[in-house]
Amino acid sequence: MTSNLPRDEALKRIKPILNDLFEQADPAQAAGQKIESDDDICPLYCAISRIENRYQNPELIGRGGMKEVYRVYDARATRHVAMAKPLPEFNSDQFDAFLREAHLTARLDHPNIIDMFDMDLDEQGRPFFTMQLKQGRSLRAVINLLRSGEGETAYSLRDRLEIFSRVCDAIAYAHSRQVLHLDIKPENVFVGEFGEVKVCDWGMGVVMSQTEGQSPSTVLLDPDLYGSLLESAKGTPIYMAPEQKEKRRHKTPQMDIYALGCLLHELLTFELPVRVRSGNSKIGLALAATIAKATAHDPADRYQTVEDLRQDIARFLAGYSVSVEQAGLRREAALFYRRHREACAITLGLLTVLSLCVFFFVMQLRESRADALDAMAAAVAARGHSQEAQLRAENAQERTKRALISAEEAQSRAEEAQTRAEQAQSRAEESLAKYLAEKAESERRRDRQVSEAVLHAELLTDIAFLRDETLPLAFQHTNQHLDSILSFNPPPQSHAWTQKYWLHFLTQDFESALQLVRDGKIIQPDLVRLARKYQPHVGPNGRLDTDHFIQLVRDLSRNEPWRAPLAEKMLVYDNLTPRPADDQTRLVREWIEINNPECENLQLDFNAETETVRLRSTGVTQLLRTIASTNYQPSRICLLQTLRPRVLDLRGTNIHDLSQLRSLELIELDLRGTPITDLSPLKGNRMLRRLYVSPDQFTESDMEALPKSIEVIVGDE
Amino acid sequence: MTSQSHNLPTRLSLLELAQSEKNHPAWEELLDYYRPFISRILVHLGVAKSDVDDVCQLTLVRLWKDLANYQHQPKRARFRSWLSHLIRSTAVDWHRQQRRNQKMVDTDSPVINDILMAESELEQRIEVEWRDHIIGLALERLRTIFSGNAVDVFVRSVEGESAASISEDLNMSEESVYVLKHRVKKRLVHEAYELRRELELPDDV
Repeated sequence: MTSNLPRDEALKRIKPILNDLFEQADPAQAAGQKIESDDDICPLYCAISRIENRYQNPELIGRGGMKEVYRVYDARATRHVAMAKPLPEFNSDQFDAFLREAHLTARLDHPNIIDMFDMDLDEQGRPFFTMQLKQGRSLRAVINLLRSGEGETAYSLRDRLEIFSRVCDAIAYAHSRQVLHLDIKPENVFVGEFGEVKVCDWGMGVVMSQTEGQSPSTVLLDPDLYGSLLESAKGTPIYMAPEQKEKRRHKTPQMDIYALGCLLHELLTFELPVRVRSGNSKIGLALAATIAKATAHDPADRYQTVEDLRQDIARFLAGYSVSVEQAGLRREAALFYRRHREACAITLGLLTVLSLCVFFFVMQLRESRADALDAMAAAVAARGHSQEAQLRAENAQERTKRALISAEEAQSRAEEAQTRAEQAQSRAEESLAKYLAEKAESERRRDRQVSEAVLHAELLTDIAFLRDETLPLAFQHTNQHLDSILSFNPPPQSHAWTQKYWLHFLTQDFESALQLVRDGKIIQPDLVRLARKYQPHVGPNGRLDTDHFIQLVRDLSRNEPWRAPLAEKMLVYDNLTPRPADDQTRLVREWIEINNPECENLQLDFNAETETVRLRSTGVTQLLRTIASTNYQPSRICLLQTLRPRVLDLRGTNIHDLSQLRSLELIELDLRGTPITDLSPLKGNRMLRRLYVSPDQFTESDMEALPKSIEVIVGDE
Repeated sequence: MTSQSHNLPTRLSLLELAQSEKNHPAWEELLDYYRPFISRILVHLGVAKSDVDDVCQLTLVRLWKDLANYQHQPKRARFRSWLSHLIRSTAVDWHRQQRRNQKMVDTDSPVINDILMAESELEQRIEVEWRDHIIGLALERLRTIFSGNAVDVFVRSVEGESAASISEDLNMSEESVYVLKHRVKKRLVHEAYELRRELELPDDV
C-alpha cells in the first residue's frame, strides 16, 4: 500500500499538474473565490448554512379555538412537521395563552403524547411551535368510520380497548407530571397508520397546584385568566365533568377520568355519551360497570387514578373480571375457562380418568384386605400354637432335671429344643408374612405356598433329633402347622393331605387316617392298605398291642423298605408311653434283627431297674438303622434308643463303630472283645463314668485323650 | 456568492498577523512554514550546512524587518522577486564573511558571483521551490483530512491509471474512485490557496 506515500515522491508523481494546481490556488486570481466554496466537500453543511427560511410551503391542516395548524416543510431537518400558530386575530396580549400549550407539551415526554420540536418567533414576531406530523387520522374519524359500519375489521373491540389503554397511559403519565389535559375527546387523540396513539392539543391543560390553596402554576398561566378567549375553544361540553363547568372549582384528575369514561363509552357504542347509561347490553356488564364508575356524578365515586381505570381495561383484555364488576364464582370460572381453554379441558379429562382409577383401586384394595385379614387370623392362630409349644418346651426343660449327673446335658437339650421351637415360631411368622403377601394372589400361588409348607412340615418330622422330650412338642407343632395349612382346604391331591395322613398313621390313629381317605383325599395306597389292616387291632388305649405293632414294624421295613424311617419314628413315638419292659425288649430285638439281617442267636437282655442292656451276638454289626438309611449322621438314632440304657454291655459283639452309640446317654460301657479301635467318638462325652476295655485294645495315647471324668478299667472278661 | 463572504469573515493573513506586532505568536508559526524552504535555497546557494540554520535565522529576521518597507513601497516588486533578492543578499553576505576569514590561509577562492547563480536564474529557481513547497504542505494537510487511500487514488489517477484498475487494486467501487479523485484535487487546490493566502503577500496587479 502506498497510503504513506512520501511527500517528495507524491510531488514528483503529480509533477505534470503542479503548475496548474499552483496557478489555480493563486489568491490573486478571481478563481480563488470559487475555490472557497465547499459544496463538493461538505454539501450538507453548505446547504444548511445557506438556508434562510427554515419552514417552507405552509399548508393549513387544522384550526382550533386558539391556533391554526399548518403542515410545513422543515428545510433544515428536511422533513415535514406540524406548525402551530396563534389565530391571526390574536395580538401580542394573547400570545401567552398560546405559548402555555407549547410549554405544557414540551414538559411531557411520553410515547403516547405528541412530541414538540421547536418553538420560536417568526419574522413578524409572532410565536409558533412545531410538532411531530404523523400520517393517520383522529380518533373522531375512526369512530365515524365505525359508526358508518366500516372498519370493524381494522378496529376490533380489542384494538379499540388497546387504543383506549394507550390514551390512559398518556394521561396517567401527564398526571404524574402534575399536568391535567381537561379536554380529552376523540378529536384530540391521534391514531397513526401503524397503531401508534398520540394525545395532542394540550391547550386547555393546567399544571396542578402542588399544595391545596395555592393557585395553579405561576409559570404556566391559569387558562381562566383568558376566560372569554378560551371560551370558543371548548368544543365538546358533553365530555366535560359536571363539576368542571363550575369555573371556580379546583381542577382535579377526576375531571380527566370522567372524560376518559365518556371516551370509552363512545369507543364502544359509537354513540355520543349524552347520558351515560350503565348496563348497556351491547357492551357487556364488565365494561358497562367500568364506564359507570369512571363517569360517576360524584368525583369521589370515580376511579381514584387513571392507572386504576387502565388496569381494569387490562384485566378485561386479559380475560379477568374487572375490579368494579363484583363477579360471582361462576363468572370467574367462566373467565378462567376462557383464559385457559385447552389446559382446562386436559385437566378435567385427566381428573375424570384419575377418579375412575382411584375408585377401581379402592374396590380392589377392599377385596384383598378382606382376604388378607382371613389369612392373618389363621396365621395368628398358628403363631399362638407355636408360642404354646415354646411354653411347653420350657416346662419340659424343668421336667428333665432328673439327676444331678444328667442335669447339664438335659439343660442343653432343653435349650436345643427351645431353639428349635423358636425356629418353628419364626418359620410360622415367616409363613404368616407370606400368607399376608400372597393371600391376594391366585389359587395357583396358594397351592405352591401349601406345598412349600408341607415340605417344611415333613422336614420337621424328618429331623431325627426327635428325642424323647422334644418329640411330642415338635410333633404337636407340626400337626398344628399342618392344620393351619389344611384350614385353607387345599385340593384333595395336595401333598398336605398326604402329610396329615402320615401323621395320623405315625400316631397309630388309623381311624382318623382312614377318615381322610373316605373324605376323598388322595393317599399313597400302601399306607391305606396297612391302615386298613391294623385299624381293627388298635386297643382301647389308642394303640396296637405289642404283637401287632411288631408285625406292623416288620411290614413297614421289609415289605416297603423305604418306609423304614416311618417305622423308626413310630417306635420312637410309641415309646413316649413306654410299654412293659418285656414288650419293649421284644420290639427292640425285632428292630435289631430287621436292621441286621445276618444276625443269629441274638441275645438281648434288658434290666429295667438297673437300666442295663446286654447284647450278645456275633451277627450284630450295626446299631443304626440300615434300611433306607441316610447319610445325615447327626439324625441317626441308635437301635437301642427306646430302651434308654444307662449301662451297655457289648462284649463279644461285632460292633465296630463307637459313633453309632452317640444318641445314647450311657454311664457305663463295656467294649471288651469288640473290634472297636477308635475312641474318638467319646471325646467330649460328659456322661460316661466307666469304660471297660480289653488290654491292648487301645493305645495309651488314645486313652489319655479321653475326658478325665471317664474311669477306664482294663481287664479280660 | 455573497452569502459565503458573509459567512466567512475577512481574515488577516498569517504574514500580516506576524507583522502586526513584535513577538506575535503567528510569527513562530510563520517561521515553521518558511524555515525549511529558505534552508533549501541557502544550500543551493552554497552556504555550508553547519551554518545554514544561522543564516536562515538571519534571513528571516531581515524578512520581518523589511516586510513593512516592502509593503509600503508604492511600486513594489513581485513578492517572490523581493524574497529571492533578500535570500540572495543574505547568502552573499555570508560568503563575504567567509572570504574574509579565509584570506590568510587560502587565496584560491572563486569569485562570489561565479558561485552564486544569476539573480534571474535564482528567481526562477525560487519560483519552482516555492511552488513545490506549497503543494507539498497542502498534500500533508490532505493526509489529515482524508482517510486511507484518498491521496493514493488521486496520485495514481494523475499518473493516468484507469479508475477500474485503481478500484480493483484498492478494493473500492469505481464510483468512489471518481468521487475521491475529484474531491482530493479540489481540496488540494483549496489548501494550496489557503497556504498562499496566509504566507504570500499579494502582488499588485
